[in-house]
Amino acid sequence: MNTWEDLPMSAFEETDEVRLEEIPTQEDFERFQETNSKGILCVAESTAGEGTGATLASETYRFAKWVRKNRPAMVIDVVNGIGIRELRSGDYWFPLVFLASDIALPIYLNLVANYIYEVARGALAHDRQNVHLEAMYKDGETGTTKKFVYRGPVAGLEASMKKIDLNKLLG
Amino acid sequence: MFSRETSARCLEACHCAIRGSIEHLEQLSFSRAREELDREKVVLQEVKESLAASENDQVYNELYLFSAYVGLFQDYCSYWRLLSEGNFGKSWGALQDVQDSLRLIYKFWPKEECPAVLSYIERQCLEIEKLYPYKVFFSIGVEIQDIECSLCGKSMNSFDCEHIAGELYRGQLACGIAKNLVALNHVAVVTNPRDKRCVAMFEDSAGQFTLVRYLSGLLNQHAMRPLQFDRVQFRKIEVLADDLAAVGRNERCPCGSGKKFKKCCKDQGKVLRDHADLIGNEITVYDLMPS
Repeated sequence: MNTWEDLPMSAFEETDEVRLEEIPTQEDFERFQETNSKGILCVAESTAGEGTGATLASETYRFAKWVRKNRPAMVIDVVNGIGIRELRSGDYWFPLVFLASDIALPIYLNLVANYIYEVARGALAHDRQNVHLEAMYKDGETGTTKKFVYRGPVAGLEASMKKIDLNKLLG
Repeated sequence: MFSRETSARCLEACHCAIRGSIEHLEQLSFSRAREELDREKVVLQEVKESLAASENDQVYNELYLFSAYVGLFQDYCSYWRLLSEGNFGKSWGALQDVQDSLRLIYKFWPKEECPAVLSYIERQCLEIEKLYPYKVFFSIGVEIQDIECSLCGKSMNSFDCEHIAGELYRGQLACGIAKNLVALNHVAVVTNPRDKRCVAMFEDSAGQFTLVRYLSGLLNQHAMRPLQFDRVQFRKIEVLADDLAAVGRNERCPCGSGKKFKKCCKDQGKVLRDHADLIGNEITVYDLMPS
């Protein structure tokens, strides 16, 4: 008979994921682009299941305040939902962000990596630092809207960039 | 004025109290170990209250750190006391308290400057965890209306509150207090929870605590001191299958051959079983915290 230990851990948790996809135009994102917004906009999202409305990921304001404090030249703002989505997993859940043309995706990812390095300074050697993030941006070359999804260890953030054609990514 | 010398003296007093408490702990004198630390906490509080209002934030933060350093050993003593008393379920929570205290200290005290005893305890905690039956944990997903700042009372989810959760402000840690649960979205089973205390509960007498109980026995028989526990090594060993284990060498073999057991199935009835070796060392508090 199988015991807990015999079961693959993937039975309990989602596996790592790195995805870059072209997505249909979204009204909110288009509005953000049209207003010549700069920097990063964190937005609330509806959760799966019995949703009560759009909520913000738990890391949103801590991250946004950290950016304002440590990168004062960078613009970051938040669109509130009806509340906060708080998950008691040890992972870092970042909000869906809209990136303006002055913030390339690698800059955002680098920012996230620096943030986690700072907030997780006290982590023990065996602590796992997993990240969940989604970023939408406009491909400068094709004019299409793209969505980058990352789910995995923070150490893999940089490595994941290599899996994607950087030239395409940066337009 | 809180000078560098005053700070160094405070830290040395903490080291001294911790050394003293660990000496008591090694003798399983839990209450005396705790008294040493409680006294030092009171002293630190008095120092904090005597500070001039003009002292800078750094001084307050330093005192907070010293207090957390002493608090870590309060947790460490609590862990070994619970283990000795056979409160295995509660001892898991105390083990998590020790590790949370370590995380807090490491955040504000560069690891390379920390006393060696901290990294020793970090490694020891990881080894002790392996003795417990907990491999998966429960993690809830909830929607909450707001998070209140423990320092200013404003919503932490707004730019009105300037505090960042987990940071120190004039000797006080900013924490978020969840307000008004809107909905419980799900309960997930995960291997990497934020809080490892959310586990399936077992009775302290349960078979799942066999290894922890064994360590507790070693402790109570003074066969191993708390600091002495070094690591656990798991391996497979060959043992007689359960139904053959009780059969004497010279008894008739239960297989019905009519032969003596030693000349029949004794060597064929072996199975591989899990085995754990609890390995100790000769370390003392003075190896980790020189006086």
